Amino acid sequence: MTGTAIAPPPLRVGLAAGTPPASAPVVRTLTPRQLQLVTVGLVVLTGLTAVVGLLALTGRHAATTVAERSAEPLMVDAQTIDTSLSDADSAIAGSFLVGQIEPADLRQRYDDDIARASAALSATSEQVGADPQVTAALRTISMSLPVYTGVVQTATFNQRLAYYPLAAAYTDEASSLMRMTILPAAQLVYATEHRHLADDQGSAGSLVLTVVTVGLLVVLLVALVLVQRRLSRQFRRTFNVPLVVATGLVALVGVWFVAAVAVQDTGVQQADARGSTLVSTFTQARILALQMRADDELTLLSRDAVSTYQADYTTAVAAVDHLLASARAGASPADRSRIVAAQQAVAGYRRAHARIRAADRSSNLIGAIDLASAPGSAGLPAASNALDGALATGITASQTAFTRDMGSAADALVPLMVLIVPVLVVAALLIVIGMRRRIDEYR
Amino acid sequence: MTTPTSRPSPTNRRRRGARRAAVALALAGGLLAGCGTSTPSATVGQAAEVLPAGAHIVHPGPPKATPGCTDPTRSIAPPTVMPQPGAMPAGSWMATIQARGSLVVGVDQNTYLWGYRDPQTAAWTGFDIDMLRQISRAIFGTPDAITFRVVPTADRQYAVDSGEVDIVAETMTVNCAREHTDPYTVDFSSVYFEAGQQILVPSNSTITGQQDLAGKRVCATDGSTSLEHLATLAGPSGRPLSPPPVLWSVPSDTDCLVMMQQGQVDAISTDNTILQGLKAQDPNTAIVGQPFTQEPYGMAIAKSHPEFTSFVNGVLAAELADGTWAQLFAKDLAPFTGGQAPTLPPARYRGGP
Repeated sequence: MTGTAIAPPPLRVGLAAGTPPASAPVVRTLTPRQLQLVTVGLVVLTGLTAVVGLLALTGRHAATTVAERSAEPLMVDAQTIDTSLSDADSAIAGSFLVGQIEPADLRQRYDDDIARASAALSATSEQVGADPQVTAALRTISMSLPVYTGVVQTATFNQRLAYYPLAAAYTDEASSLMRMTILPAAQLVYATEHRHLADDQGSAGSLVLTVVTVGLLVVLLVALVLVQRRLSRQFRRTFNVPLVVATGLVALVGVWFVAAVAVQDTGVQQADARGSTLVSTFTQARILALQMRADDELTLLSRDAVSTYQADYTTAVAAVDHLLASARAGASPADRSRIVAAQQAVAGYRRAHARIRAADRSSNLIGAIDLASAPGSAGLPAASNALDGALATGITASQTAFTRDMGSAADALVPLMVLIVPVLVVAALLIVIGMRRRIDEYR
Repeated sequence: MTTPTSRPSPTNRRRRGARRAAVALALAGGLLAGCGTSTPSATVGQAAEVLPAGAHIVHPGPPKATPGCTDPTRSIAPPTVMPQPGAMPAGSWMATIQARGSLVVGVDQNTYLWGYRDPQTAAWTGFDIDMLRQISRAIFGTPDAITFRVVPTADRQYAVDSGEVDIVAETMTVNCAREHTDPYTVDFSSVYFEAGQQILVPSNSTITGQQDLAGKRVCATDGSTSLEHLATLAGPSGRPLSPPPVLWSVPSDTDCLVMMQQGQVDAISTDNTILQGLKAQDPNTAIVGQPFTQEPYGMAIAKSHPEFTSFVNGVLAAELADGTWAQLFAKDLAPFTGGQAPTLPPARYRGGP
């Protein structure tokens, strides 16, 4: 602190100085000035620990809340683009299936899907960063979407004129644009956002400040113990109560810090496993399920005997099965029940699909179209809506679980964030008080 | 339909399916692998182009000849006395059909005027369908004892050879490869229609015939001989067109009309029968020029049932003689051909004159 003319003897505190030679029977005494320097050293170390610890905690807290509050909604928008557009593809195929005049409700569903996708598209464009891949993908979607709706409109005109093969060819072209260009781009946006979210979660476990804090706490604790041992030998007193209490407080902060970080880390990992991974599973399954429905509708619409759409259906349904089965393996009981519900809905869809295929194969086209378009429990719309509903429930529940887990992870840090500085300030005061008593004994 | 180059192997429609399947797979694995499907690069300020799925430019070779086959249209002579409906000779394939209760036929359901199934009423209509109804009438006494199976163009010969269907009527051109050298060969009935390759253009086009196709973008169906014929088109001087036409190949005929309406091709060239069906869906088009190929249509029957082929030829001969054929032509095809029924050359049979 203050300069001194007398060169003090080497300050014998710290790790190396902690153990005096066993051969020395008499402990060298510390001068008051040396005791003052030790005090200053301990207070500075305590202050440093408080500051670094607070930085570590606020950093972790901020990272966790950012993941919860901003990345997640962005991912939801990206997912909305995907699901809305898949649904639009199915709605338009379903509407042509019914007849020359588009049913108003299916047209409304298509219009709503396009509107929802456009809104989510502009929301996403505002939120995403400068990732060039995402920017390019969003541009692809923005440029292709009007072309898609234009082709759909042409198909609609031809359907009105009862030019059914031509209407089907345009629907086919629109659907191909959707599946080959637009949906992959939407998928890329979603995948990238999902990766960014994972990165944010990763930084919620940022290590450097945490390790430095733990290191400082250990050094402070060791220094306090050594100083007390030295003082008790010099002054023949067993305990210096203020210093003992200060040591206890520092130890408390240390244990608390490690515990809070561990709870937060577990929470984030749980959020990732339970929430975000499941959200992604259910979302992909939902997109594929919508494509399965479009496949079944387009099969009847294009009446393509080689049935590329059925090949597509087979791949999609296998992918959905795989997604759900893999997710089921490590799921919690609540998640498992939702996955099982989705799997049952897939089985229900399969049965509706089989009825339609059987009708179509036995040359009962009208029966097949009825099953594919009519309301009723045996029909495709009911089965598809049930499946979509089960998967949407899964998405919502997983999102809620994600938000909850991230929230409680962040909450685990809050008490210590509030208290670390006051507690260590008290510890510093107690250090000063305890040291003052010894220094005063010289007077 | 036109003459696909014969293999009952995967068509482009199937390849398109494979691509779609790949997209579904990419979707399934995309997130975990962290990889997206390739994104087409978009240039700002330029409209994104949209094509029918599977459309691509091709460079086909000329049609192949089959050595030793000179006239594939010669079919098996009809029986001297046709059996009465409901009384098919024992042991014949017709008796098997009669015992079964229905004639199983392979047809197309998307070709206007020929084999078409109205999606609203499920009614089968078209000239091919009516030809088959006449055979049903000859066996059962009713035109409706038919079980329809939709058979893809590329699988027609397999469907007949494997016994999946008794007979196929699908705008199928009679040729040597199908009778002799393809992996699945068939017998053909005598010719029931003569089509030819022509050109469909927008009504305001300057193209008036094959000589105008030099350097133009022309569309036809995957694997069809229409493409092969286009590749060997000659100008008035007899020399190949220069520059040659740019040939676009698509999975189905209607995709060609989509491309022409979108301004991506200048003309469509395939059998005039198909072109008439496309023209019926776009009044602003015209068929131009003279037919530059001969596409005799026959019905395909298994080589193991020559008595059935002979019987079908008897039905056809009777139809032509009593005016039924002309009536059906007028009903199914006349509205789009000006009402004039073409005259078929007299049927010639194997071993006959």
